[in-house]
Amino acid sequence: MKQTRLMMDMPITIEIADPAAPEGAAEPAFAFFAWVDATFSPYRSDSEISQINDGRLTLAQASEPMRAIFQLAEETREDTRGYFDIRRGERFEPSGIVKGWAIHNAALLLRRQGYANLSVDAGGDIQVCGASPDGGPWRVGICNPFEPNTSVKTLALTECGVATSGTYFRGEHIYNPLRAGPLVGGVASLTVIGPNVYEADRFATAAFAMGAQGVDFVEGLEGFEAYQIDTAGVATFTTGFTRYVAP
Amino acid sequence: MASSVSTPQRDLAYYARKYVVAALVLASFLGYALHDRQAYASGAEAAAVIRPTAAAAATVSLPPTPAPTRIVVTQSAALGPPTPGPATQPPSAQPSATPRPINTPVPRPSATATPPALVGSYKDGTYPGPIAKTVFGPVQVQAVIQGGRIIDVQFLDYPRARRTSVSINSVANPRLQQEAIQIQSAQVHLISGATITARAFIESLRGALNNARP
Repeated sequence: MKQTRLMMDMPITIEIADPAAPEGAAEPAFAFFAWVDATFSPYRSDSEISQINDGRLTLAQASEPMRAIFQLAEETREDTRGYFDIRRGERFEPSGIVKGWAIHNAALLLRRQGYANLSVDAGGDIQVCGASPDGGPWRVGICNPFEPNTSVKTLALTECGVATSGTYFRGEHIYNPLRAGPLVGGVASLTVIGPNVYEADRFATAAFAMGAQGVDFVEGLEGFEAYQIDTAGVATFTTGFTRYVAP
Repeated sequence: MASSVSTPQRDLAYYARKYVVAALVLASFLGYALHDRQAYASGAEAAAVIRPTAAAAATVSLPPTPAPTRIVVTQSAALGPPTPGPATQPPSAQPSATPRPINTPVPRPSATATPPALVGSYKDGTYPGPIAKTVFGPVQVQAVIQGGRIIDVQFLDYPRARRTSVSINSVANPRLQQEAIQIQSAQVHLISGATITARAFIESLRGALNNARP
């Protein structure tokens, strides 16, 4: 089964390739995304994150998942030398870490239901498990930042996560906590492949904020590969990246 | 919902039905969210910690899996026929074949003005949405409906990264290879791109799905 829904302001597509997966098989995962939205959406005045930002709730009073997210955000801030930071002045904006965490956990939830072959795609950040509907690996294209209806690389993936950072579709600029000015020059997009989409997403977000050095940062991470496209259409990639490229 | 695009005239009953359905759906999601917030307050699963170099997939805390009777099917009760899958990959565990009962929640007033996920069944076909404007350029999508469900969202027009003629050099690490990007013709299951969260995308998609309503 395959289904797309608009949730958390993103198209979320779940595909379960296991034979005889019923049409409703993804419902628990969609319900989970709905809970994520209700908890973490900065656009909802009654979400838990809005309550924290408005001072109606302290972190000590917050739910376990919220405190877990803050803990993960702090670890990511340390792991990325401060290039990932959910602080926005007096407020917190954890969407950059919640998204990958949510996709990763939605996929885990479906695996708990017994499905082994599936993909979860939320707005271009993807977790794949097992085999695709044609029996082979999942074929994932890297979006062309200059023509987003086309792809510039074809990856053959199983049991990993892919996340891409770029500015061309966002409603807001990438926030760089270490530099004045919102926009990052020179890099059109950065795609990170990692052991799961939570890891891929947090490092893609941070590495993109580093500008041209982003791909160098990922080169230094064991178990991660990256494909960085600059505004002239030249791609730089990590030394292990080609093993993921479809033949 | 602000939009620079004109929409067909609708009568009050249409909007009333639309917003009652929307409020029902939102109430069900909020009900589920509140249920799980309470479950967490009573101390379900401890949060796990992610290590940056962990090779195995790390487990993080999840809200408890809902019991079957609490699942609310957000599409209408008229489910399409099951999609036949290939017999090439045996599953590692048998998925549950028990149909989940549909639970209609008691409507509660919506606490926020945020529109809920788009739900309902649609007419099969391909439906373009209106062109929505952003500071990055126009966005227009079309929705592909099959079996009453959205199976794909395609872009008809979209903002593009601005191209320059000067390449930045990653000379900090000369070991890294470079290449000119090339458009691939291979079919793919998925595309990884920058997160599509622009409001204009949502506006255009909502317009497309309005056209797909039965």
